Amino acid sequence: MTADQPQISLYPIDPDLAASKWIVVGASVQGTSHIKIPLPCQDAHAYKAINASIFVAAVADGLGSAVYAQAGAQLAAASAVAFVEQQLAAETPGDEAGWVQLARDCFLAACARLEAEAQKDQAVLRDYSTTLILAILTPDWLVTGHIGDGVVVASLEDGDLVLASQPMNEEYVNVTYPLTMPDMIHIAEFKASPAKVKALALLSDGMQHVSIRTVDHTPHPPFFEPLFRQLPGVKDMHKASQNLAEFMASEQICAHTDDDKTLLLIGRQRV
Amino acid sequence: MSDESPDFDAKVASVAENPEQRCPCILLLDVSGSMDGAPINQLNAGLHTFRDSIRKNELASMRVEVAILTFGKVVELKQDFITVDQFNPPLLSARGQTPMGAAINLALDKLEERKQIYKQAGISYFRPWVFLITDGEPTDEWHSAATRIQAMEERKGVTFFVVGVDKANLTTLAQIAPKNRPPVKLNGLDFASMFIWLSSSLGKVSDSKIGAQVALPPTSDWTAITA
Repeated sequence: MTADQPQISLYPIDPDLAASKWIVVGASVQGTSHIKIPLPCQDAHAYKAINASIFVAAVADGLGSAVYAQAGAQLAAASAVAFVEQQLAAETPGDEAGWVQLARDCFLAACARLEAEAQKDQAVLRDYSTTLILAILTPDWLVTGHIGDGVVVASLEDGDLVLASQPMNEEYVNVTYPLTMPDMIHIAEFKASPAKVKALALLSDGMQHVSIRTVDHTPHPPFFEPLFRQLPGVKDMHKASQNLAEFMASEQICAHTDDDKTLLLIGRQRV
Repeated sequence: MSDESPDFDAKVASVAENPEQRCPCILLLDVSGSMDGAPINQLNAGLHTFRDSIRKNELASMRVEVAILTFGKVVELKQDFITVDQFNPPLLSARGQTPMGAAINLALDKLEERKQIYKQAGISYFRPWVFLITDGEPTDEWHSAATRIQAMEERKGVTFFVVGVDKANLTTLAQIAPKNRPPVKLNGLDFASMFIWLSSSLGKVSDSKIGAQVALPPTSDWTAITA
């Protein structure tokens, strides 16, 4: 049987995406500790190419202490992306304030979605506790929303590798702020930066330890650069995602982390 | 599988060699004269059980850092912070009074020191644990220490457990322990079961980020039923 095999979540590649200029390679992989306990993979991700120039992605990490963490993470990520898609269909923000507002509204909507689910299931919001990272990529802006841990790393046109969004200052690694906490909207961070982004990575905290240098909180170039470099040449996104998932489930990674982990890479096709 | 070479190979990425995350745990042990004989012998044996039990969990034995502070004739740091894979329990002997207040204060000072070391080295860390075991009650001034550790517990700066052995004064200990986690009474001298519980709890805590509320295993295997 597959008792020791991690549960891997790959999402089917949207045919529209394959026809667009966007490249997405991503996976959520169950942590070794969750295989042992056993707990399902409580990480989730979602994304959507709005059009040839705007892309939205979300990563959520359900808190192990929450009863419906898995559902919470999946719903939060999916509803965040759906909300942004819906809003952009009506209007595209023109300035920084507009994008930040969109990200804030998105978090409120994702939280409301969990609230509705909790009511439906006669549960409480806390049962769906999850972190949430949102990234919207446009030709001129990099927009992020962030509550809890995980990071967003951007590879810029000028060659720089930057931490575009990082966890709030929680002292202890086992304490995190969820989307479902009472004062969430004042604790979450929302940013819109004028940035020329070549490629983007969204990571849950399970991948953080192997890719971000803890001493100065900078992205580890030998981790990100080879991945970003290969993105534009990817022909089969599903196969590439499978390859990524195998890497994330490998001993090389699992020796350093036993948590669920998500890595979502977003780039553009080579022209 | 196709035989063409893949256009994406994630294995070319190399991971950041970060120091392992740490989960500090201070054992605050009563070695006053009344612990002499069977209690101290069982406690010594229990420390070995603790080490062996954590070592079964490879990641936990690299993450959990144990320090041992004893209070009896003197307050003494018997073992400075060390990861469990390197830990060899000291042999404790029992003598003297119960200067618990001074011991709690020293434990908190040591924790602050350790956290500074983690920060300088870029090591991320879990919320520390302080695990106090006593068969009596403090013989020194303890109110200020109790206030200090309870305040820390309230702002989630520490997880503090108090275990009473034999004739321990649970009424006084209840004023020292955090309000939401009253002292528990050890079942006889079953330190072994208690330390197995502690190792599996620390294993769970150090396992991963599992949110602010960690569901610990039940303590019923090693606690006495009190009225």
